Amino acid sequence: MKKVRLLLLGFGVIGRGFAQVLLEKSEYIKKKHGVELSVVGVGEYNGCLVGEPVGLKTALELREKGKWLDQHPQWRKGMTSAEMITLIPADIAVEVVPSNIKTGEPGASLIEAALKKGLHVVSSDKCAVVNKFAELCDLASKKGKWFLYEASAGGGMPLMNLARECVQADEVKSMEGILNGTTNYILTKMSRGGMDLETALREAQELGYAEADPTYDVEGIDAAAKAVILANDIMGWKKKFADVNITGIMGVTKEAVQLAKKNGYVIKLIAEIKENSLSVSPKLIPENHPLNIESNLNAVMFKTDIGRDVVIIGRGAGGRETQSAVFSDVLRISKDL
Amino acid sequence: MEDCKLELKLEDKPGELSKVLDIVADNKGNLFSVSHIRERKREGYLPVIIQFQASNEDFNGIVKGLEAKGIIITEKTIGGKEEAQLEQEFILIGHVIDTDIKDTIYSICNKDVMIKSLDISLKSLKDPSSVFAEIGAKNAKALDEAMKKLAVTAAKKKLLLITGIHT
Repeated sequence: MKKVRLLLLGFGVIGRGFAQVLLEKSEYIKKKHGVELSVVGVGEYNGCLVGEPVGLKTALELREKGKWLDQHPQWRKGMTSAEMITLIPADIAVEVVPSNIKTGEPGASLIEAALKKGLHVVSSDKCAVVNKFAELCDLASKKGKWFLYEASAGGGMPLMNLARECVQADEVKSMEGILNGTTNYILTKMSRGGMDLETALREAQELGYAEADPTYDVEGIDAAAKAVILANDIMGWKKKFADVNITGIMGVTKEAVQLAKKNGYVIKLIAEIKENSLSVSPKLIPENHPLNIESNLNAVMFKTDIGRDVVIIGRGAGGRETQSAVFSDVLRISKDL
Repeated sequence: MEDCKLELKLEDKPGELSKVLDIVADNKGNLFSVSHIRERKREGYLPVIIQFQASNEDFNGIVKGLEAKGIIITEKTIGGKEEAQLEQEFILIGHVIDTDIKDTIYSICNKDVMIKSLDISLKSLKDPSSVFAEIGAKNAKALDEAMKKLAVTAAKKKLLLITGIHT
C-alpha cells in the first residue's frame, strides 16, 4: 500500500469538506487506488495541527461545536502554514485557503513555498491560481512537481481534467458556460418563479448559495476569475483577470426575464472563451439549449474540432462537491509517486 | 428544375398549411416534403419547412404568392444556394423608450438588415423598460455591423444589451 502524506492548508468550508470526505472514503480509496492518504498537518491562520496522522475527526467535531482548533491535542500554537511546510515532511500540499481576488494572497505564497520545498500542490484557490498562474506553473515545472487546480474553476465539474485526459487529440476551439451557481439560482428564480432580482438574491442568501456580500457573484467577478483559469489551462492563453470584459446581472430586470421567457429564451450569466477573448455577461439562451440548466448548477460547453460539442453539467461550488475535483488531483499525483 | 426549400412561420390553426400548398401547386411546384417543427412553436406560430422542385421563375412566383398572403418566410433556398436570413435576437433594458427607441433600434436597419419582431415590456413610465427584438440580416457581415452599432448606441444611452449566445 502506497502511503501519501498530505498537508492541508486551510480548514474553512473546503478544508473541512476535504477532511470529511477523506474520513468517509479512505477505505474505498485504498481498495480502488492502492493509496493510503494521510494528513500530517493542517494549517490555520493562528496555528497548525501536526501529527501522524492528524486527528481529523476531532478537528471536525470541534468546529461543529463552534470551537477553535486550539483545543485540539495536536495544536501547535503560533506555527504558521509556511513554517509547517518547511518543517513537516510531506508529499502533497492541498491548498484550500480563501485568498484575495486582487492579490491571490495568502494562497499564492503558500503554493510557492510548498513547490520550493519540493512538494506537489493541489489547489482549489481560484484567486491564487488566477493571479499567479504563469509564475506558479513555471515554478512547478522547474521543480519537476505537479501543480493541479481542477477545483479552482468549476468546483465538482471535471473541466481541465476532461480536456487533459479525455479529449487528447481534440483541439478545444472555444468554451462557453455558466460558471457561477449563485447567479444561475437567481436567474432561474426570476424566470420560473417570477421573482425580482432582490427577492431571488435574498432567497439565495437564506439557502446559503450566496454570501452576505454577493458582489463577487452578481458582478460576474467569480465567473471571470474561473474563465481566466480555464482559458490559460485549456487554451494555453496567457490572460489576466483584467483581460475579461465583465457585465454582471444587477441590471437584469424581472420584466426582461419574463419577456425573454415569452419569446422562448432564458437569460443566463455566460462566460465566453473564444477567439482569444474572454467575456462574462448576461446572454439570451434558447429554452431548449443544453446550457439552460436550472437552480445553482453550472455547465460548460466545449467546442472541439473532433468531438464537436461536449457539455459538462455539475456543482460548481460546495464544500463537499468540490472534493470530487480535489481528490481527483490528489489521486492523480499519488499514482505518480 | 431546381431543388427548393422554404422555412415558414405559420399560424398554428387549421387551413394555414393548405393555403401554402395551394400556392406551391398553383405555381407548378412539385412538392416532396413538409415538416413541422413543433418543439420550436412560439407565440402561436409554428416553423414549417417545405421542400419542392421548381424552376427559378416558379420559385419566385411561389415566394411572391406566399408573401402576398402574409405568410412569413424565414429561410429561402434554391438549387442548394441558401438565401437564408441570419437571425439575431436581443434584449435592451433601461430607459429604452425615453432615449428614443426608434433611433436605437431602427438606426441599425438598412437594405440588408431588418427588424423581424419587437416586444416591449413597460412596468411604469418612471421604471426601466425592456425590449425584446429579433433582427434578420442577409449576410454575416451586415449582421455583425448592425450588432456592433447597436452595442455602441446602447452603451451611449446607458442601456443593458443582452444578445444571443451565438453572437
